[in-house]
Amino acid sequence: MRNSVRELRKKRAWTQAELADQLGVSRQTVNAIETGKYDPSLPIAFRIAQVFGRPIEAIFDPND
Amino acid sequence: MGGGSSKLERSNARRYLVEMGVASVFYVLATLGAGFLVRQMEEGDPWRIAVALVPVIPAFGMLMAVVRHVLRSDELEQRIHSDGAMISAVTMMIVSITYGFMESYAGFPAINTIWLAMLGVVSWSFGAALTKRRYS
Repeated sequence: MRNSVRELRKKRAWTQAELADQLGVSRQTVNAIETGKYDPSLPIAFRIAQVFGRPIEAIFDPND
Repeated sequence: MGGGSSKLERSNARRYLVEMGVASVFYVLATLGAGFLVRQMEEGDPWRIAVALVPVIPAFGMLMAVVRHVLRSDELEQRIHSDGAMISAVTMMIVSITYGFMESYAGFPAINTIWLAMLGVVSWSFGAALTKRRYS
């Protein structure tokens, strides 16, 4: 699934580790989500949406 | 752009090292102590079995350290661990069945089952590393 997590993170000048701290996950998980190699569970997707202050569908695109 | 490991990873690694370290020290002490005591006991002494089983207690502590480490991990890490454990279980089944046949029909020597535990650790690590690559 395509997502804009990397773009949103870079806009805020956060490192992957800093975003991982806010989400309560490992840096490896943030990297896997950003590269589209891993689709997060709903709770993490909601947390990502909350951290970036956007709706889930604005961050994750299921049509890919 | 990574910026090192996250707080979750660092605290989980620290706790795992402490828990596994303590359990391992007790395991080594229990193994050495039980080995020494068993050698002092008479051949038919029923307490020999009980003393020989004492290292199982700290070994259980080591197992709990691994379980707690996995449960503290995030969802992707848990998936990596479970895939690794699955690869390990299949590897152990195939190896033990194959070697069992070789023992029965090809005259291979009987080996100590402690090697199965070693195989479990190695194949789990290998399986987890293999799965991890998929997400890197």
